[in-house]
Amino acid sequence: MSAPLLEVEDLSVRFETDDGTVHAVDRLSFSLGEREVLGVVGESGCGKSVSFMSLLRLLPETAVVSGRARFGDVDLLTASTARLRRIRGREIAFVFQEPMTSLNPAFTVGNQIGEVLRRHLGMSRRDAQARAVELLDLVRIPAPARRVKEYPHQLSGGMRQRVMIAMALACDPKILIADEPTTALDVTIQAGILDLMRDIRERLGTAIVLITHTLGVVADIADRVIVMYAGRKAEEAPVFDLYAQPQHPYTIGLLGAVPRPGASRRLQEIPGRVPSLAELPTACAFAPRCPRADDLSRSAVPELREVRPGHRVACFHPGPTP
Amino acid sequence: MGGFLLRKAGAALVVVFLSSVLVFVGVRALPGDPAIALAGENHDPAVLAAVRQEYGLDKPLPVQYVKWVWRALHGNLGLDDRQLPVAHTIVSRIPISLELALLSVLVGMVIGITAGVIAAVRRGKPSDHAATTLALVGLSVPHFWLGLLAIIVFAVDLHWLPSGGYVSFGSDPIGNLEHMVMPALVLGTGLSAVLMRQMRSSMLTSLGADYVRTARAKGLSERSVVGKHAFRNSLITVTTVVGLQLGQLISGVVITEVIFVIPGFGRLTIDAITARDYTLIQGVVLVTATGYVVVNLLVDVVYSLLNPRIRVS
Amino acid sequence: MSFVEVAPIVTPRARRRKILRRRFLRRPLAVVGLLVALGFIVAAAFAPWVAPYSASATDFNNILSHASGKHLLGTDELGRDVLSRIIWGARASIEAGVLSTLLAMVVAVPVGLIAGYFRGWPDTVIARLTDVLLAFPFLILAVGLSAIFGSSLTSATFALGIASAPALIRIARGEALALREEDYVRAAVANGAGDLRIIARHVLPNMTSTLIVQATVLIPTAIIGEAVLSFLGLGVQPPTPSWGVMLSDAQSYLTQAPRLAIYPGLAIFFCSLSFNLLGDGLRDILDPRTTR
Repeated sequence: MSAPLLEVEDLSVRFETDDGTVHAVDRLSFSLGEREVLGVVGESGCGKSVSFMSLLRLLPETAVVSGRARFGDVDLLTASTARLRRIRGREIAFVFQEPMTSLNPAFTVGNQIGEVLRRHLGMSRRDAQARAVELLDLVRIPAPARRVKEYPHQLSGGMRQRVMIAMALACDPKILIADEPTTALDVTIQAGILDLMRDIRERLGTAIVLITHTLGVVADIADRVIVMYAGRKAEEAPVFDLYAQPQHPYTIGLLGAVPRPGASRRLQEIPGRVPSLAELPTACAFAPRCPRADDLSRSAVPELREVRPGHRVACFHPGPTP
Repeated sequence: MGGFLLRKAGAALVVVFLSSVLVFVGVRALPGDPAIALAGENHDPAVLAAVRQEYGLDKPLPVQYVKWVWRALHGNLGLDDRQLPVAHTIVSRIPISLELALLSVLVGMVIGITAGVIAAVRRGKPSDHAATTLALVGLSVPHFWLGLLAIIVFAVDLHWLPSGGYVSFGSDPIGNLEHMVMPALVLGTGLSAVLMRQMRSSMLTSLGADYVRTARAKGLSERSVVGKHAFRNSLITVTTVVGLQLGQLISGVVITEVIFVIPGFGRLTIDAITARDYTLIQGVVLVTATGYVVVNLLVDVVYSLLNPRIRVS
Repeated sequence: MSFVEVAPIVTPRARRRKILRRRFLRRPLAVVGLLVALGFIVAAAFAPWVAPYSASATDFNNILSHASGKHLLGTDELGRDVLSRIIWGARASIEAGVLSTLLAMVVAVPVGLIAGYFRGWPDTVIARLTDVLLAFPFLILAVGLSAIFGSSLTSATFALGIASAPALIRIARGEALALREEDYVRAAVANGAGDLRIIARHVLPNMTSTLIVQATVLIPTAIIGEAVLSFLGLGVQPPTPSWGVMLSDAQSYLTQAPRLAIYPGLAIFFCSLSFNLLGDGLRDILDPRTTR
């Protein structure tokens, strides 16, 4: 495989709040290759969104970020703001979770898409508007020439999300980071958005990071999956391996919690709650909820180990269901 | 947008109508013989008889009201205590007050909005604290006192500006502005204080909004993020506030005209009330209420133009 | 299946008050505002004991004098001690400011509540009437009402109270309107609670913070309003002192003794500023949503 597009090492993010420090992400490392679709899965609060927002410096001022994030010849975490602005929207694009509020209600859809084109590619207003129509067509919005002049409040949630995607793809970025792109939409619309993403990967060759808390979403479209828990990577594997042979008890728990239509088996919940991130743990973060926990897990932090080719787990007792 | 404005216009008409009724009934409800009041406290029976004839005071109230409204619509608001036509006096005074009001709004908006944006963008820093404190001071300061202070400093001490009076723009533009500078600044200060606070609060909300995060993620310059995305949305909120401040502005105009001895509509109102000149009061109050309602309607128009959710529904 | 009575949002009062008190004390400006406002109130209440002279004690041998040991702020055109007159003047301002606001609340809250909660034709009538009254700028209304009631402190207080009421009605109505849609109100209705009970237990208590903040905004407006009315000769009549009257008198002496215009104005300024600071502080601690 050619050199990875994005290489992140020891990414840590903590927030200094009035009520103390919150360690949102702890020494996360991963890489993303060209044309690859990486799924990032975890519960709310596990640090998945924060990790990627930190790469583009989109976090509030209370965030303290450390580590390295190599993208091309630039370290995203230490690059100048000016350099970063040239990368945002142009080479790395972000699609946010809330289509309802992520678009500015005061400007037309065409204006907001055109902005990126005018800013990064120097297009004229007219050219940008024309390209915006093409982009709306690309994301399969019907009657794009009409829609381009409309305001966000005139579009449905699904369409707004497509507009967000169109905006992100406008400058043909190398990486598209989609943060829970389907969470705020209902199931029938979700399928359409996922189809679109598959299409994008095929046609444009964009590498995609798909962040979600729903396992089912990832199965269809990802090449590789990272499972995060409490700010750390719990498991990482090619998608088939993860689903066929999950190693980390958390992953197994997540898979067990997926409702299967027709199954008469009771849904398995994972007992307990996500730990508070106020202190850096000195033990395995999952131990309180883990059926395999023992003194070792409660006294030391498990490091990532490769248990099969391309399949890494951070666990003292990895393996299929006990 | 048409529906929105139509509803607002309808409500405005209702308010004007009710105000006119209120004024009309108010004057006639005062203790004593309305004829005496309308005749300017003149007790001469011949005059009283003429007044009764004129206003149809022996006829039922609704008839009187219709008569009055009919006349008013034709520009006849009666004669005041000095036998001068009320409508004429009012019309000659309004442009003066209008000039003062417009200049003050200009001052208020320019200072208030700019200060508010700066304070929001530099939140927590010294410039923010300074601006916020100044705004608080501006809110608490009684304007007429500020006017007196301004007169003391600029007119009495430094002799830079006249202490009062008025010169029309047509006859002497420089003189006109010289006379208007202090009153407009004094009045504008109050408005700017309110606007600054509102703009700051509004901008802070906008800057924290998701769409601003999206704008940053698109790689837009900070100037674009703040000046285009956040500002536009804040402007919409602030327009409503400007509308709400119009009442304060009118009160301010009245006092400012009294202090700076400007022969405007505001001064006319006070003089009418203190002199108990009821015909004049009726006319003045009617015009005030109508004017206020009309201006509010204009603010609604501006708001609907700015807010796409109303403009395109 | 049994229904559960939904408790109103107000948590145990004592605990909440303690939290609020602590938050308040962390804001120095608000505390300063409170202390200064209290200072004015105390000065007004205890004027006979605090002021060195009576408000009308003239001394024609000593007119327009500068600050001295005997007269800390000097004397006015009739030889009266300026400091004493300012202290006595606080009475008019505080009385007008506080009482008129109280009057406005007593009138506006029930009216607004009825309009917002019950809706229907009472709401339409009240809303229209309020709109009409709001079409008259506050001062015009106050001046007009003063003219009708005659000129005195009491009539000025009344006029200011009535002029402040429409805006408050609108606010109270808005609050009631919003609160009646809250889930806990609907739950109470579903449980068969009567209107009076719902209003008393669920709606009114949740309006109090907004109303308190509004009161602290109305008071300075009323204080300035009283000053304006007295300035125009429509409020307090001489010889009763009032800051507005002092300012009006000072106009004739702007060249000889500009300080006569400065002192009363400063008093009005600080008095209204203190209530504004207090109001800001209260708004901050009572409404967690305001962005600072």
